[in-house]
Amino acid sequence: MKMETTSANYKTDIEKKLRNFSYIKIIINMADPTTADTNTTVDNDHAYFSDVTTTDKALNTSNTYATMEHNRLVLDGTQVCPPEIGDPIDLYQGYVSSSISDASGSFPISPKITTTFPSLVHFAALSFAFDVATECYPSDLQIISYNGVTVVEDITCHPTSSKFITPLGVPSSGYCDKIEVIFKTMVTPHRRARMAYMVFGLMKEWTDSTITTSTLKRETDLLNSVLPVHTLEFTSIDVNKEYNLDNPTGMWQYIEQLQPITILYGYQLDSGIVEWVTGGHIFTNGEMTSESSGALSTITFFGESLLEQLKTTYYKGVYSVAPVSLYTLAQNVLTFANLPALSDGSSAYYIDPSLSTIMTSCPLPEKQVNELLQLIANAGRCVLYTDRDGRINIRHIDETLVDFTLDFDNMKTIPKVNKIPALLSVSTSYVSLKVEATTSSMIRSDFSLTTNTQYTLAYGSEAVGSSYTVTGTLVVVGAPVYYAHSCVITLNGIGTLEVLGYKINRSEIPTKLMVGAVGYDCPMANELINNLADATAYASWVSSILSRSNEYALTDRGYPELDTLDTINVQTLFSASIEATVVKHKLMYNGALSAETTVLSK
Amino acid sequence: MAWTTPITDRTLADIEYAITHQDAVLDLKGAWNISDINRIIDNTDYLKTQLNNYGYFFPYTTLTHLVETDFPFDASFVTVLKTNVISMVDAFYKQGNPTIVINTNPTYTMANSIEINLQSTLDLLTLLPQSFRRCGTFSCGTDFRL
Repeated sequence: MKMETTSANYKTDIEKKLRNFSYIKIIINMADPTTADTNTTVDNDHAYFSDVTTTDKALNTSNTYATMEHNRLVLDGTQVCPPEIGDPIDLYQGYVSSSISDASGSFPISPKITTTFPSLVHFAALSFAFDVATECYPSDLQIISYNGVTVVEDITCHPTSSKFITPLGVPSSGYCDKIEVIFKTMVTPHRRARMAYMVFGLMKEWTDSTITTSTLKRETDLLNSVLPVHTLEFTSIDVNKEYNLDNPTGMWQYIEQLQPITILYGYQLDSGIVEWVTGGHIFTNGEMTSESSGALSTITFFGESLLEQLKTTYYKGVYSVAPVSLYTLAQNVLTFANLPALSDGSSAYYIDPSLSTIMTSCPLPEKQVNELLQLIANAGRCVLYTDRDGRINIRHIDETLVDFTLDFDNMKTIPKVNKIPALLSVSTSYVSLKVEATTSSMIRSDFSLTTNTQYTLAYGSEAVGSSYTVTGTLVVVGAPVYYAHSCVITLNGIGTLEVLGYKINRSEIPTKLMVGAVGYDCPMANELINNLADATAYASWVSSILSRSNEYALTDRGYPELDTLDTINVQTLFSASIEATVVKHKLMYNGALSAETTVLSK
Repeated sequence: MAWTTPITDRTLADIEYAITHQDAVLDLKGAWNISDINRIIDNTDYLKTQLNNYGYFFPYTTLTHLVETDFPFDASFVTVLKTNVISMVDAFYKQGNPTIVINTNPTYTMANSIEINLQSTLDLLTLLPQSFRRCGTFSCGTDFRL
């Protein structure tokens, strides 16, 4: 991994003996994720780089295109000269109007964004981000809700900053199937109407003004022997008891599973500017704890990476005579998981291309999606982890040294050293598959049905070339789908179903890689490896990781830019600097930053 | 086209002021407004005409003034704006001129660099006639004092 990029001033200023102020910002998108996929949004006037159709995805405009409105092109280097009309638009800009407001902030024709929904909806609120870069927003924003052609509600809001949440539901009572958002007047004259996002629900932002503690925990095992950990827990003062779980009208009811959480850490530079580092993009797991002590109420939220929440069982493993690549297997599993795109619209996963050269005939076992990705990553001699963008990665470790040193100046404790015993050998094995020559009964069951009913029938063992027989009036509707461990079949009528198949027998062929003269033998195998060459390469990879000599655990001043899998310099009692890979990083904030870091020496 | 005094001393403080005073009625120094870009176009055009008169020729693309609704396109506008100034100083003289970087987002140092190059070229151009000598006042090719 390559740690998050920060400025030269940040690198210098964060190492000061007495640090400047640190900040934290945690944003939870409490919108119903299905609404964003089903609505249709159009506008009545837009610039050529505008994209109103994705404003409901809560994307941020990290850099905006430079335009010539009065005083908008601030020379701070954050604005990008726009591409020619017709060229690809590289930077997401959200909605940007073509027309410009006059000296009074009004438009000749008010920019209007119309969203229609396939069914009647009601939202707890609408959350907007306008032109955050220059803090420009509409001072009068009209929101009209319709049910068919009937106006349900017509309100005018008066935002006071570039991020705005409507104070009441939309509509405040009843339901609508169309919403019009109209920019009536801009707070700054001579400006285009801009809207980075319009979220159908709450986009709640917590800051250091109410957050009392926060812990971002990341752990990655280089061998994938356990699933990676990427969790967030933060506690905030709940000023108006809005999130108290006993509050019948509380906001807690809008917190569901899999709502995106964005974590940002800020550090104030000597110049006074706060530099923000993205801590990560994870998801709520639906868990919350509220506590009250007298007038003070606090709420604790929990989040996990998407990977940790992929607990659906994948059952579509098949035996194929012609081996398939681990890359294809990983793609199949991830396609099955139906991951949402990331907040910038890019793919939610990355698979190392080297996996396309490692082939197997072994069917994927029936396991949770995240466990299968762990199994594939392990067979592919890669590491499975979630990066800061929230992307699931299966890739080889990049052991390039990053420009970062943990020394006695920024450590709070001398590293606690754990010696890894010497490795004698790695005992592994590979699978040999034999398909039986005759069919066996995989499952036999009686049914009495009056309507078409779909079943997923699990076999006791793996099979290939399955077929079925039925008796009585029982019929199979459509074509059954056969997998190695089960079949999906739709039945109707009364009778007996028998599924036949050629059983696959597995045998494990052991192999051993000698590493040293003394030490311990490490047994480790992967059920997807079915040839000696891959087994040998696998054993060699395992030995290369287990040959790392020491593990160092320490506490430090807390560096949000540091990632697990970063290879950094670490000072020890007997060495000014050793190269080591970060495997655990627990970043804590309680008004100031601190961290617990564990590294493995190379 | 007449010469207009360029702005060459923008500072970080101007940028911070521009960020926090977006509603200012006047053109802010920390922002690149139409007046700034059109001034660069006019001044470059002025210098180009003067240099052509003195026999200096260089690749030059004429740009038209921007208005509020225009976009400062990267390739067809801002790059051309900078390239015109670079071509001009390359064809004439440089005296420690700051470098104009082509592929960069607009910054105050970039805006200063462009206009310092223009001012420096004007200064040298003003001195140019002083180096001219009337015909017949010099001879050459002899070691003898005349």
